[in-house]
Amino acid sequence: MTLANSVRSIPGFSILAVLCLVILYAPLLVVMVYSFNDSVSITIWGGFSLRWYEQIFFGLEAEKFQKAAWNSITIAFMAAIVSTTIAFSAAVGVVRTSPFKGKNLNISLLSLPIMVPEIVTAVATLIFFSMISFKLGYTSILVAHIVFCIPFAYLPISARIQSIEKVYEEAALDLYANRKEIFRSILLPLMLPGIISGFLLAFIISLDDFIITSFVKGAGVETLPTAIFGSIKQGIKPDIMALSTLLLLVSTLFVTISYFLSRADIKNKLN
Amino acid sequence: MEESQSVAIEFQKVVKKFGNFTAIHNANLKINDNEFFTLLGPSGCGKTTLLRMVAGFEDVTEGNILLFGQKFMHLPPNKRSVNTVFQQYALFPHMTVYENVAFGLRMKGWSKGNIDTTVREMLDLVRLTPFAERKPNQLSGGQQQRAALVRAIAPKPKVLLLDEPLSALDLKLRQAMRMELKQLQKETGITFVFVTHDQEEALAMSDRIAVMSEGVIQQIGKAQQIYEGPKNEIVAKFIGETNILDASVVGLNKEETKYRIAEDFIITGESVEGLTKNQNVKILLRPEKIRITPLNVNATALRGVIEESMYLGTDTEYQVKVSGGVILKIRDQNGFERRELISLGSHIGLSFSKDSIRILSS
Repeated sequence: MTLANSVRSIPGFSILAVLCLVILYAPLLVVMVYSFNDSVSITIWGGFSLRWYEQIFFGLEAEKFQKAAWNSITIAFMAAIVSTTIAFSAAVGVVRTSPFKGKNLNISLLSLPIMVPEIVTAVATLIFFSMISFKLGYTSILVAHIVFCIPFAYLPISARIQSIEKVYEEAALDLYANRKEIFRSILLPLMLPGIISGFLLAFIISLDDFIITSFVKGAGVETLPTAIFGSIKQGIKPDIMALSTLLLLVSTLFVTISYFLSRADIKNKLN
Repeated sequence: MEESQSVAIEFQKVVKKFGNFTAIHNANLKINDNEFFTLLGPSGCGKTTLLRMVAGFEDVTEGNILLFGQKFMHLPPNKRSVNTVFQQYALFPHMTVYENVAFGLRMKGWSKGNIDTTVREMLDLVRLTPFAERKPNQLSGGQQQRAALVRAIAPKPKVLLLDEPLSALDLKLRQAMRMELKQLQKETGITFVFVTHDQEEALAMSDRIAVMSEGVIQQIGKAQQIYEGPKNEIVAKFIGETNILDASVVGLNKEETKYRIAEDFIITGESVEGLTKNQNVKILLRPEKIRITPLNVNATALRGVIEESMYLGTDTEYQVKVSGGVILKIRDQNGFERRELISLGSHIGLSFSKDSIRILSS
């Protein structure tokens, strides 16, 4: 009997497993189901309806949400592109070079920000912006997002680059390829799954960031998370559930893409 | 070396150091054009380092390497007309077999038509045409091996370097690939420099072999020369099973030399030049050169007692204790005459011809 099987034979295993899944997903399910609720109340079911979806697209707050969504998506997209580019350069520089003094320190320093409490980063970023008199607004959000997305993009990229064996490079060099060609035809295609993963991760992290954004956004500029929070302060309305459901959908989509990319990757390596 | 043969690769007093560690000590070696040459030695003996210096992945600390008489150590690997078949094949995983084989030609700037003709020719040569559009991970080990082989041959290198290319294959496939490699070398006329730690592989395929150990080329020669006449103990021990005996010269004349191994264990070999009386020498006696004889045939024959036996199919290996407590290994072929295994503790007679005794230089 394998270890996994022996764990499975413990009495109550399946009940416990189902319970865990329910605790994990029940709140999300409630939000998703009640986003289709016809009733104004958020706790009483009043039949199926798409009115809250209509509301967020055409209702009173539609303009505010659309603007916030537009900000969120454009910031996430640009932050992901820039942070992925920086993370990629850093990963190439750190992983693909011969050992240098402080190489390990470098690797740790690059991933450390993930472990710093976000509130600390938020306060520090805000203080920094005010010290250099940087005007808070769309640009300050973008800059902050670019910076805190770098370590998230760095992780999958450096892991991928590390897994590329040096012998491919040697083989290409042996077959008359110059440095540029090796990078273009061999290294870049092999690194690509890591780069895409890094990009998607950075995009998602930026898209749903709340704490840092709320510190550095300044007045008048909202992203979806801060807009949702702003609305909720006046009481939870069903349209917020519809909005959250849409946001969940986008996140799920990205995570799924990332999952399949890394799975295809593992399959390649196993063979 | 005959003057008529042109030399493909010449190592001149090559030394390679990694920090304080000397990987190659003063290597001098000429590899002829159109030769299947093998660098044989245990892992860490420097054979792969020699290969990598030719390919350009390692630089030379001292000395020089010439390619058809030309200096080429200053060129980067992508400017050298030698190609490598890597131990792990190193087929590009994101490219099809076709693209892999075409890669070198594309980098050399061949025309599309030329590339296509050559790639198809190459795939045909190793029966991979039906697999042209497959990715490397969809191929079997043997197919990957053949793809890696033609990828390196396609650009028509002057010398092909093979770094233990068969070590990842299972036994049957390895044996089949030996034949194929040998044939491929004949068909293409390219000089093959083959690196292996497998002595059987080396003996089976090579025109000539260089035996290496601890960064030193110990002996260079044809398979038979190396096996039958190893220069020293290192070579003798590395290639094939051996009995190495400490002896002193007790009698010598024009026809023969007598050696004493133990008190009443004296054997006779051919006369060898340069030996003096009472000189201590090491003697090599291959286990298959010793014959087991019934005890009563020759009263003066050597005698022994069977201590161990190992049945190996085509032959049986016996460990026989002879006088002076010396243990000899004997290989007895299970051939034409069907024979029962000789039971442990049996007393037997032993004989061998004079010319099977070799003196090893220390």
